[in-house]
Amino acid sequence: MGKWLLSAALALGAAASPAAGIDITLLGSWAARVDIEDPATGRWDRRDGTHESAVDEVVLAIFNSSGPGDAWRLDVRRVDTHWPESLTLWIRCSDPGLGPGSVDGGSLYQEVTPQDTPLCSGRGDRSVICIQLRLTGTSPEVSPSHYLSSVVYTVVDES
Amino acid sequence: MWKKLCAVVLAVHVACPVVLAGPTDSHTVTVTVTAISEVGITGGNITLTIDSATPGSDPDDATDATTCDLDWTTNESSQKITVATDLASPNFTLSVEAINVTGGTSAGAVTLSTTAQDFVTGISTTTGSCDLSYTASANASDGTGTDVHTVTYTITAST
Repeated sequence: MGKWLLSAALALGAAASPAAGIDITLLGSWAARVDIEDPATGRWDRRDGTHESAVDEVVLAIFNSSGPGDAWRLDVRRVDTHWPESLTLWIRCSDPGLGPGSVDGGSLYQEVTPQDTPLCSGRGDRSVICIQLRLTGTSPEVSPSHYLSSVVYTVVDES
Repeated sequence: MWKKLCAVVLAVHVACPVVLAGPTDSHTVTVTVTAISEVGITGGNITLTIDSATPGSDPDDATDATTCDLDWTTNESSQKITVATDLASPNFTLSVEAINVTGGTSAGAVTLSTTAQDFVTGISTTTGSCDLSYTASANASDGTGTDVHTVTYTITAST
């Protein structure tokens, strides 16, 4: 239900916005906690070194293209606020979404770095593109703290 | 009158964009690493039997250095592991020593008492392990009997 409401909302917004190039919008964020509570004992135990979000933790919509043949590229990069070098963030397109266009690539995990890196490409409008994230590198050497980074998605018109 | 009023309201709603959009959007990734210090024993319970002696000498010690291991993980600095028994007035002497230590420094042989004593020191943001070497000793004057100890290992901040 939530995905259909997003699709409808984005379609309405697209119709109302001025035609100024391909746009992107997203819903979601990810908060990963590096431990789990044992319900039997109440103790917090460290999880292993890999943590994964839900397959639809972040949902994207790409719209305002000139039509189903309008080619675009989606780049991603990380903007760190407080992030240790030992942590690595990975990203993939877990679902190509809906719409008259298409999405190619991006189904395998790739590292999110501070530099723009292509995640996938496509044509035309697409909504409900699902993004999954993975975190590796957690270990006892990572000091207790709240670490924060932002993932920036940029759609580049390649027509 | 009613129909005209509805039409005006609807037009205003459509004219306002449902979502803010552009070629870029972003979301946050938050990673929470809590302070985690864990210690665990592998190998199970141990039985030490003193059942021999050299004539003219106190009974021979009974030892076990192979049954149990101790493992630990901490992402905090300046930690240590202490050891204590719950048996307040044992008939015989029981000591334990950390041997083949990684991720810390053995404090040497510890004669168990109900007061927690240093067992492994110098533990910081690491994993570690050791073999537990138990030694039970008795004097001829102690007679016969059975002591049952519950030995507890605790990882804690060094003072």
